[in-house]
Amino acid sequence: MAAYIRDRLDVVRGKQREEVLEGAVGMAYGEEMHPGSNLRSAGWRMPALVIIALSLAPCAAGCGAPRPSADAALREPLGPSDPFTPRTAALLWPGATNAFLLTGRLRLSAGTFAVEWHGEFEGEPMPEGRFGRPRAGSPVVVWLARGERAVWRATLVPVPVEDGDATRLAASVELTVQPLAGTRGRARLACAIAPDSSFPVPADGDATPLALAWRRTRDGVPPALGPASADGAVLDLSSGAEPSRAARWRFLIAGSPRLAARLGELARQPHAARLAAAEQEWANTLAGSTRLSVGDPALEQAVDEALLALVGCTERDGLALRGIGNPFQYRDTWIRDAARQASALSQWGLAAPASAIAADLAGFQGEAGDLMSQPGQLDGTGQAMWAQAEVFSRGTGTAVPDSIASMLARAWRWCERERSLVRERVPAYAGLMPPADPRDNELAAGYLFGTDAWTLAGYRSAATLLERAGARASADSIRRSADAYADVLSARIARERGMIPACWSGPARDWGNYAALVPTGAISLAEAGHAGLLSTLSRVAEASGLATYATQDTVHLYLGSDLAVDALLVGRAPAWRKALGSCLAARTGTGGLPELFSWSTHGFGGNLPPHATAAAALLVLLRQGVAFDALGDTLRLTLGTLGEWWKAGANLERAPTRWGVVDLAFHLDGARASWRWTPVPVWTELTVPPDMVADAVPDGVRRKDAHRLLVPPGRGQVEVTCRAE
Amino acid sequence: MQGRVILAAGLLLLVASCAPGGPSPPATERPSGVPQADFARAVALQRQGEHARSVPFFRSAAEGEPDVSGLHAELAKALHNATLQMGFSGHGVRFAVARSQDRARMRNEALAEIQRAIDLEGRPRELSALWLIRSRIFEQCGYVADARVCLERGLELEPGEPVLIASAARLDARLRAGH
Repeated sequence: MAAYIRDRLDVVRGKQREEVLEGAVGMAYGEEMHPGSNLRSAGWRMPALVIIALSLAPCAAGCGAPRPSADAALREPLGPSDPFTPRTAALLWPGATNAFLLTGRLRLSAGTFAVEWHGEFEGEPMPEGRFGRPRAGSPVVVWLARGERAVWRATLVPVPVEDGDATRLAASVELTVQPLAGTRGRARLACAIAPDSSFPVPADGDATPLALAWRRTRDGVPPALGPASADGAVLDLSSGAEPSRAARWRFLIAGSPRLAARLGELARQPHAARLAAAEQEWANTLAGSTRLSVGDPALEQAVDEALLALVGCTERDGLALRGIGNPFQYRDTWIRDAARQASALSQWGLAAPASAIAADLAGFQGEAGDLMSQPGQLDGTGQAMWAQAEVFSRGTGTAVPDSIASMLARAWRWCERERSLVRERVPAYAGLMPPADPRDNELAAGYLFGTDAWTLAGYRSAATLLERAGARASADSIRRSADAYADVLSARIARERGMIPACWSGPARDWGNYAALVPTGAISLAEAGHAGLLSTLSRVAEASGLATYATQDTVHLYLGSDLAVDALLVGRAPAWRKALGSCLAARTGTGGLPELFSWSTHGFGGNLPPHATAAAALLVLLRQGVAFDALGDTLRLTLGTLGEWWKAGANLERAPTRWGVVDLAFHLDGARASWRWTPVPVWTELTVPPDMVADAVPDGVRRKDAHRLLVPPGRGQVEVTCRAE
Repeated sequence: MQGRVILAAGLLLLVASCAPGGPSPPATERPSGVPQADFARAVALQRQGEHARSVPFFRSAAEGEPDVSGLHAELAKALHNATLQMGFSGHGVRFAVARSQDRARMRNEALAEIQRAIDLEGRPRELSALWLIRSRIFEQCGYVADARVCLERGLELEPGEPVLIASAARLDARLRAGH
């Protein structure tokens, strides 16, 4: 729309057009420098009408949203130091069918085209910057580059646009140049639109032609709108700047061709208003979620960032929501990832997206009852079943819909049939699921431990939910078959002298076997101890607590996370603490965790962060550390903590567990450790602060060992005296 | 029988021959509603490796002649092949059908269509060929045990059929060795 206006104004108003247009679209930023033309340097040459228009534009743009101050322009972004090469950030939005990749010296990639900014202030080139957030809990990305003469800062705001059943994402970008130390002069900016292939994009039916230029052409519409127009791919801008007045430009960028035609409409709302709206909407999304306060704002921010990555790795389709592995190269659903995504969201109180993602998995079910997202990945059926229990078992106990109960029963029958086929035809593997060929992860075909572990987890989940749905006979049948299945696995493990291989029938990379205890519960605690799986966590000393994949140099951000939670159950909390620390250190400036990276180069190749399952792993590490409900019939509190949390006093609010929504507070005051929590109808296990042992046990509380206490159901407060171990 | 079975298996393997044989059709091309014409167009698209685009044409042909077993079999193969068809987008190879949910639906529809073809078919030799196709679909989905069961049905009809025997032996080996 704006492009039509622009073209018409070009004809009738000549050189005045840009200023008036800026007013019309709420973009009174910067000045235009046409290639080869003299710089327009002063407003005093403008006609009076234009001056009025310009004076009104900031008002229109700034109603209720004042321009950022110089302090704001200089403020460092909030976020961790990015250890990776290259530095990247992702501009995401829940449910959006696209995302933007931000890299290097400020480049925004949409997948098929990119906008890149280069600038200069008084002879100093725009330096390389770092990414972060403007404030805690914000979905907005800030890029800041600090030179000797000026600070360059960009705020990149996600602008979601409802488009039928889909949500498409545009970006509102404001770039400022704030001179330092009394410097004044001209800031110059060159903005280039170019074809891009930074990440693969889905095959899309959107055939809207794009013109990679800063003006609409006969060939199509431009995907970006700036403060001025230009015929070619490069838009040159210039503006005076001094310490009291930063140079400032705004851009609107479409993430998909369909949005390109709507940029003018989107530009009418000022950047500051877009920013406020995005932050408010994301705050509304988080409002009901679980909150962890441990006296460490950086860790609390890490939780928010991981939640944003998880909810951002979704695509809305009408009322449905599908989980995707990653907004860039993995923009598709793998049941193995989406099940964990739903689980983590459920654990952190984001029940709506968790339920929607789990419900979407049910859509994979075939006539026979199986659920498979990728050929050969036979663990999908069990994972999809397990995901349902993860979302329906926590919190207030939402009723299990008939459709889900039916889905679970059909899935169980399919698994039983598959197992019976193996029993009939291959007695050597009797009781197992058929061989899988996942063409991923284990990178081997065979009788994979993960297939059976997840199938067994699915059986138990189905039994729990069917019982809740009133289908007691079916639940009993499934429970009996689950018990027999568990016996089969135990016997096989015993025959292997306690080892738990990735594959029973040949070599394979460790994968599903790492999920043997948490979260699948396919083995007992004793079997986990004998198997020695935890020993695989310390191969890379610098990234201790994490697992490596394929090579010792390839650090994987979620492969070992189940083992790190296992470590808590087998009394090896230091391994959990190392895993948590290593995960937190492997985040981009905006909190994105890659799936894996090379320790030696700190590169992740084309496997760009953020990865949904890596975000889920971090969230599960934390949540299960503080309030463990993944397995068993005991609520385990403070199983995994840091000493600093106890000293600061910590709170977990609104944590949905399998025994209700729990609030928890814990604190160490001198030698007195105290817990207050929402009483639950099962026993609660309390773990004392790290490196301490319980000295005396209050009445009614049992001592499990030196570090753990057992509290009877219905009680919600304990204080004990501790001493150093 | 052997030739028919080989032909059937060969059609499935079209997935591996995605080299375009001519210009790609416009994405908006629609079936005509005339079964013969739509079938011809579908086959032409299939030969270009455009399995996903061939589906509406095969479906139109099967809907136009709902009692013809072969049309349902062809639709089944097209649906299955479309779930495996690859394309290039951005800097990566991607499935032509972008969403795994859509591919799963197509896979499930392929199984339903081949079952329909089986239900409609009365001739033993043709029927055994259809069981082989069903077996191949299962196998390529990763369901080795189901694939083996389908071959058993085919072998009941054509016990000496070498292609079926060889396929059964191969699947038995996979089941025994796990790969």
